[in-house]
Amino acid sequence: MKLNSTKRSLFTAITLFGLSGCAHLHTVKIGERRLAPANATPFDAKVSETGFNVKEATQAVKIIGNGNASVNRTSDTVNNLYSLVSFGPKTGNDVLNTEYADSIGSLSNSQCSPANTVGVVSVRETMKYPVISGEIVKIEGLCK
Amino acid sequence: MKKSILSSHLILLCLITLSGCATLKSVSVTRVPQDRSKPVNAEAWGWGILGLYFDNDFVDEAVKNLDEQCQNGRISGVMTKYSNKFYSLWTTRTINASGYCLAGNSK
Repeated sequence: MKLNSTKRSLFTAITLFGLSGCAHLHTVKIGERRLAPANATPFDAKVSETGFNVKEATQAVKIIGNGNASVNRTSDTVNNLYSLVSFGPKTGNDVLNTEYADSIGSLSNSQCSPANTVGVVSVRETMKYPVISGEIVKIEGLCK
Repeated sequence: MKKSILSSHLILLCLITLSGCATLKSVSVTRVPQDRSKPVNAEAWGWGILGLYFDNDFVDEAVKNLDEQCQNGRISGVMTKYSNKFYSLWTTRTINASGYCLAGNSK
């Protein structure tokens, strides 16, 4: 019993360490690269939203539940139900809504007018932590 | 004992067969120019163990490498390919960027 508990703690510690701050890159698009004047200033516009991983959350609940059959059953049910309603292609973890990404264009324009923007690189990435994550959309470029 | 040997063989078989598997994550292309006489391309990669990566800085490296090859012009028709390659316990993530270097005013 003691060994099981030690193993569980060790597993949890390794998992938490392993998943802390992992960076996942989903898509990259490098745009037209135009000759920028030497005084062009780099800028970046970034929006993010908190993502939530139901599978990891239910696993965490199972570990905390310490093998309780009822907790395990409920966790599995939640996980299975969520898997059924959230299938399909996606990048990163689930967020409450995707509207956070809509402002990336206006944010980019507010930092540099479109006419002066050159060398745009757009990136979709995830900073992953246990259970939650930062779902990031980023635009980098030069302002001439 | 027999079961243990069987599972070891199965793990080994999985490691061998899955080695070198590649995944294409994203591809994008911008407007391709008429003048394609001066192609440029750049590559940058980052690695991770067991699918764990700690930063995405190699993206900036790919952009820098591409820019360095066409310092006095502009690059058009940029194709960006982002792929992963899996080698048993470690993986590499690669960005290949290619395009055409053009003089300032050409189309």
